[in-house]
Amino acid sequence: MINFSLPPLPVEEVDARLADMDRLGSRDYAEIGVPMFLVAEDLTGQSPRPVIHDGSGRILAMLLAEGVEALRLRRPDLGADDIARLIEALADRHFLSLATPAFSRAADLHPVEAA
Amino acid sequence: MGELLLPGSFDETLAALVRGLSAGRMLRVVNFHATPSYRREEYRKQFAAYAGLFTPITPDNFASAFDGTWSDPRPGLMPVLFEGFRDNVDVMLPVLEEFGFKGWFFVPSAFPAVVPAIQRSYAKAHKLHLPKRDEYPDERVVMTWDEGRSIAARGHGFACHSRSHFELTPETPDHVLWDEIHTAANEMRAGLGQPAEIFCWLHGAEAGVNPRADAMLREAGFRYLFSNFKVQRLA
Repeated sequence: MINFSLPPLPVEEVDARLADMDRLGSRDYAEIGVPMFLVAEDLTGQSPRPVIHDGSGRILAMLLAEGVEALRLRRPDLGADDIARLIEALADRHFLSLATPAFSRAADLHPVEAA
Repeated sequence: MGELLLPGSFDETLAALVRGLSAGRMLRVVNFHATPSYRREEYRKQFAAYAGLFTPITPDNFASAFDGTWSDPRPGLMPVLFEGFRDNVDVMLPVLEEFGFKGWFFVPSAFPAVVPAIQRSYAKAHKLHLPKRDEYPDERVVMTWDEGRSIAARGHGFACHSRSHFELTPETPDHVLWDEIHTAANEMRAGLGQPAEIFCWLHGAEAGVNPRADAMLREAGFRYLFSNFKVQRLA
């Protein structure tokens, strides 16, 4: 198994992400649409069905964990609000992009094959 | 945002979220509250963009969106409209239907029955934030149950947002829980003519914050709990 780790986020990128979280948090939530990712969790004790997915969840998981670690360097006492702000920022950045179909499966980009 | 409560430690919550996301177990939602008409074009542009990428999550396919048996190549999208405001019906519902989406109306069950003359003061007292500009002067600002039944009959979803827009704590006493859960379930059933299977607390407490509440939610027939970070299947 390949053992690797990503280098830590550069200071500038941490600053930019924190600024983005502040920007998003200052909006008027009473009137706007806010995209969010919610984790589905089965508490009934049934074995979860295996999910075949495209890897977008793993990307989000990695970005969330990475964001928490970066934020912790600035503020060790993170709370629930910080998780909410991090996921909100991830959704703001990736909600649309991670829903884009694979290039080869985008039928309107391949009209000959689609026909 | 409000005061978010976690049932366990920060690290436990984070680990559960990372596990769930990495397994691909997630729903995509867009949260709305008031939807005033002066933002109609903004909403239309957003749903025009969503329509090219997502498939609607409906009451009929919600279970497959939840359990990972979703078969559509495009991910599902769940527009959630909190509070039961009238402008959700007048403004957002036509936008959703124009682009083929189903709305999910999360209603505090006591709100539609409040008489119009005091709906604004009820809203203020219960953290139900109306838009900056009042678009219904001297009129009701909440959807009616007649509208709710009509919307449900058109295939849109409903959830119980407690009875009074209530914020759960670990100490909430049983008699208050009973009102916020059982009375709310009865009011949703009476109002819509069908039970609501989804529940959500103000500020989105998840299962484990108050285990007495979790047991009562199951007793009242709720199958899913929406929270800040999760959709949890209770039964």
